Amino acid sequence: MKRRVDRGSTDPTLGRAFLAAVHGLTKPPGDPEAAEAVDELVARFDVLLEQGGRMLQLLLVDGEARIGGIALELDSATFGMVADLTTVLGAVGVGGVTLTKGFRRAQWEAFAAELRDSIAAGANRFQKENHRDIVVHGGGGLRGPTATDPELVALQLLRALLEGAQGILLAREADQAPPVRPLRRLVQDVVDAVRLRGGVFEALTTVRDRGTPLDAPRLRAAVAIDVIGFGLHVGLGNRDLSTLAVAALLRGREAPTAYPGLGGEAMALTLCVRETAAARAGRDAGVPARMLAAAEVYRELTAGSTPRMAPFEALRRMVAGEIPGVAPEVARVFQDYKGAHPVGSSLDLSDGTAAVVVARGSASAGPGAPTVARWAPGSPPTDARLDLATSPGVRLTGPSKTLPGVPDLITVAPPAS
Amino acid sequence: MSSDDYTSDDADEVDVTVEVEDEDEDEEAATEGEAESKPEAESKPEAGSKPEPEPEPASPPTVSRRDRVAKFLVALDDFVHLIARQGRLGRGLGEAAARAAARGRDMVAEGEVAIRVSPFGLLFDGSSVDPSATAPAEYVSPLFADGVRKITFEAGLTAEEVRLLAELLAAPGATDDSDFVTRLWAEEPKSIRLEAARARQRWSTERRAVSPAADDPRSLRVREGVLWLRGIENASGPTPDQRTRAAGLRGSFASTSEHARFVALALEPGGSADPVVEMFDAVAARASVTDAARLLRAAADAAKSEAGGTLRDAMLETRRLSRLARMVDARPEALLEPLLALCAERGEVLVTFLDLLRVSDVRERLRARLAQDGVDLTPFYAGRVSSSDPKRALEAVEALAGFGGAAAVRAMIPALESEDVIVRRTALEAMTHGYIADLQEPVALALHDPDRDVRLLALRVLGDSGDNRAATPILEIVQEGTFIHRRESERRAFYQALARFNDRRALEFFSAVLERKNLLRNEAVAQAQLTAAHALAAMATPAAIRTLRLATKRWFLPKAVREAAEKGYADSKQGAGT
Repeated sequence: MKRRVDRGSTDPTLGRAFLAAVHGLTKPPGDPEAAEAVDELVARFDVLLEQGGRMLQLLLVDGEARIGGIALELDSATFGMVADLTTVLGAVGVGGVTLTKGFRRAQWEAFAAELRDSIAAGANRFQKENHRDIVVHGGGGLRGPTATDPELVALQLLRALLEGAQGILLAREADQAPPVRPLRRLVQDVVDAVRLRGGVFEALTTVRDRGTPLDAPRLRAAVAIDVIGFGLHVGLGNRDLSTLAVAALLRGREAPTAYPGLGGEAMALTLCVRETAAARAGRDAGVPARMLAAAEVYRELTAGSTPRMAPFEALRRMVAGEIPGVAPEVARVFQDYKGAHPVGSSLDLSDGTAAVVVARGSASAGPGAPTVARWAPGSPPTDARLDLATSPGVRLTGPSKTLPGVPDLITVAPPAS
Repeated sequence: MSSDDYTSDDADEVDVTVEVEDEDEDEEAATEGEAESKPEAESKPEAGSKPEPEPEPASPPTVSRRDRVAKFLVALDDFVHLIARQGRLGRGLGEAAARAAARGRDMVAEGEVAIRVSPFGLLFDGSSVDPSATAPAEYVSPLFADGVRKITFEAGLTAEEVRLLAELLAAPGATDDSDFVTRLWAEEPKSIRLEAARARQRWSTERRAVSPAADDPRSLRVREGVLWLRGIENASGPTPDQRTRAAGLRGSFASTSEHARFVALALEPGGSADPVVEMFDAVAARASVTDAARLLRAAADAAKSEAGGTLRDAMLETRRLSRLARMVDARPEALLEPLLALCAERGEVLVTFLDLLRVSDVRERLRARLAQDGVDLTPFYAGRVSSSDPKRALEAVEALAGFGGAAAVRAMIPALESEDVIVRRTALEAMTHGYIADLQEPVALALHDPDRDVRLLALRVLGDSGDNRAATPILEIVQEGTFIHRRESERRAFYQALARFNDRRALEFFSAVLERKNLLRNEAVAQAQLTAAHALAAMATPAAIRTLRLATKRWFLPKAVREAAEKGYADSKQGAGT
């Protein structure tokens, strides 16, 4: 049974005072209007406490301000403040603030200083102990131009993609055609992130427990990431990248003939989804389908339930035409994109240690000289780096045989059976 | 893409009201006083943009800058409405586009401009800049619903980007596969940036089945992982060889055969033509000539099968033809041939299509082609015969006259009611070459036409028809009291026409004319009697000959009449004898 959530006062007047006070924090220190807003907030909060209230919560959600869970009625002034705060606070990972019973003016000043510090640094600088009764909530729903922590963003997006892949599999099991628009919005975010942090995504989808094959959602998400990176390497535009990635997520055992209601995008997506099966069977298919087929085969070879190969071995055999369903000319470009030792793949070194590839190595140094991070079995990876091109005493000996049990960084619930 | 082509079911697909934290998390944080912040903002640069500060201007905007923003929005609004009303091939779009582009350039001359999208309208620097003072533009609400919160225009805004924006705003609603945010992103404008709320997918009604595991990525393990991830290389630049190979792959990404494969896939057993039709609608809404031509060709190739026939028929529905006609008007060279191929067994559709074309050159080109292919264009011209435009009606009558045949003649009947005398004359001239029974009544009415030439042509049609029913209206006219006032030549023509019918009433009429005692030698009566004698001679039936013989003995008839009767009698007798 769901617990009832106490979100505190829902008084809109108090809520506006709270919003104005928080908005005042975005103004320069000493701004008289901002100071007045805080005075009013403190006075009204005292009244709330006297009347038996115990908390006041402001959440910024999708362009709205919610006080105690209830959206404030918006006028243009309120909307302007909400929009400002969503942008400014969202950039430092703040999606809301709650005042609890012990709140005092002095805590506000500490909170204000930390917020200004966070804004200046573009990072979260809040210290819990300085303002124990001002709770800062994570969040921020806008995709703005100022990145906070790209690695965390990548983690969040990949988790969303895994959820998406899992949702699609569930929908397909229920004989439903999953809607495409929300997928496109998600994929749009992922494409933009991969464009800037492709290596991070590659690593996140490659570093894993080598003893366990990827489950279906993870495999779909990994293929989607690969096909986005592949498309970026080839130089495709956003529209084609989106189609490829959505097709990767929609592919399944029984792809419907076509997705109804897709309008102008129907053809590319339908062909890509349907023809990948033809490409895998060695029949004629369009380029997008052959690209997707290459990414799928690569993932199945290196992480699927079949006996797994090292990435470089899988790529070599794909290029050599030894793997049915992969066109060698497409595989060659795919290999160009992945490199001989793809980021995230694990290797054994000649000094007896194991390592994970973190950079492919410069072209001039040759394909066999990536930069790696040593990785002791059972431990998380460290940030110590070893460039094999400039370390003549150490060389790679092959795919890792001694690096089992690397934990995944993201987990999602297994699909319902 | 027009809104009526798709149905949107937003509420079931996208939960735009994003829950920042789970309820349980909220409660925990609030009640236990957990002050640890949880940064999870998802904020990152748009494609191709660089990180930059908040785009609000450093100093308060001047009045003139606000004016420039407002002027741009007014010009953009005009442009959007023009596209919404007329489509992308409408008239006046060029001027509207140029004006909006110029205003856009003015607006960003001093640097980028950020316009907020609120539920109340468009805001610049906190107050409204809506093009209309009374209500926000109709696209504002769909924009907000799609999650758009801010549109930033950067210096370097191009006319193409303004056009793209206007086209997207003309149909801003979300469809099953896209919304404003995804459409703009797919087009990759360099100088227009969006800030959009994240729409969270409700993947399943069973939330538990898709919620993340308790092992949250914000845990300590992930923090360590993030530290490690920070050193990960991003995509390395391709070598020249790799670039060449990649370009080869990219170059074949969109192939002309894809449309054929798509159609073939859709028409596989168990498939449906719907996706193809929906795509065709979308392509037509975008006025994408190349895609439309490829789809038409692919559908034409597939049309021989039963499923292909269904697809063809759906693509040739009148509402789709109307949209297609606008594209053919603009780009006939690309679309006419594929359309003709698709209509190979549905020529009548092209006849309908001809009427939808607005550009006369294009229409004539198609008409000539159809005529060359032997397509019956009668239905096309039949619809134009009644046109209030005399030129159009005359063109139709002339064309129908050229076709000949009963259907063409029948199609010309409405032309007899045309206000233009040339149209009426032309139609009657054509009818003289192909009488059909349907003509009797309308042509008889033309015997009363105010124009003499029309009357005589109508008389000729009826006289040559051999249709005995036609004698009645002619007889009625010649018996009218006013008939005597018509010109002699016309009277003669009517009598001669009447004489061509072997009709008892005609004979009685001529007999009565010759029995009239014209003692005062009224010239008109004498002329009528002379004409009647000639008419009887022309009839040459035994009854007519008897009437002539009687006339030769009537002393009161003018000499000329008697002589004509005698000659007619003699000739008829001789003719009868031979």
